[in-house]
Amino acid sequence: MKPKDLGTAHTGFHDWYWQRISAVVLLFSIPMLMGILLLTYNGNISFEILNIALTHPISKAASILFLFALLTHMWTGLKVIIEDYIHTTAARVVVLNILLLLLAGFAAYMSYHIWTELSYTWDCIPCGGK
Amino acid sequence: MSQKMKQSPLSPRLSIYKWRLTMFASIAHRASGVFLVFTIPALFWLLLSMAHGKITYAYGLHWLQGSFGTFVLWLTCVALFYHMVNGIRFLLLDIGKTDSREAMKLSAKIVVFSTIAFALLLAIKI
Repeated sequence: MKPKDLGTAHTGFHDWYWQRISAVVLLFSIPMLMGILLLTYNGNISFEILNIALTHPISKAASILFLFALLTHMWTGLKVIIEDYIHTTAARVVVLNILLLLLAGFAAYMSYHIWTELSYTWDCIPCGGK
Repeated sequence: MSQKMKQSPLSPRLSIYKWRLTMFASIAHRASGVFLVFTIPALFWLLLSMAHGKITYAYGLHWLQGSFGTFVLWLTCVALFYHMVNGIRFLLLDIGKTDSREAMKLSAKIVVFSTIAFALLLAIKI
């Protein structure tokens, strides 16, 4: 029996490749995120230190790189799972496109969050920079 | 879709296999991945918000140090540890270092038991 269409067979290698490239980037960056979180949780990182550490232009650039590696890994990983468990082509395409839109929106918002130093209080969601 | 297509086997058919540690390791990789999709972006957002303002820092720290925040942090660290160690196992498989049945069984054991050890250690230390 011949397959009806190629589906994603012609883009599979790209997904596989980018999943692993982003995995290696995350292998180095995610422990830093969790390390900073745990040290902050333990009370070892004060606001002043955290503010200087995460608003320096170099760390903003690193945050953007981390964000895009994370999004690439989330997209490739969830895509494989969705393609495995949703067998109806129409449903699969709809779910994948909704996911892509959500990830794109998250990317746009987080880039803004990183770059303009947004902060949040009960009175203003979100407050602009300093 | 034709009747024949509907009856043809579709991946992954979990119910026909006997449960083994290597199979558990593979499914747990997906499960931890789906869990991390929700928590890692949320914690990244939280950390950035805490770094940007004194008030958000105070709120964020209060939430993190509460029982729910601590539990989320612990569970995320454990899921992340598993996903990373098993991810290294898969990367080694890709470059052909562990592609024998024995190596995969042994590495699955190492990954699962080191995660359990890490989870217990972190629960004590956190």
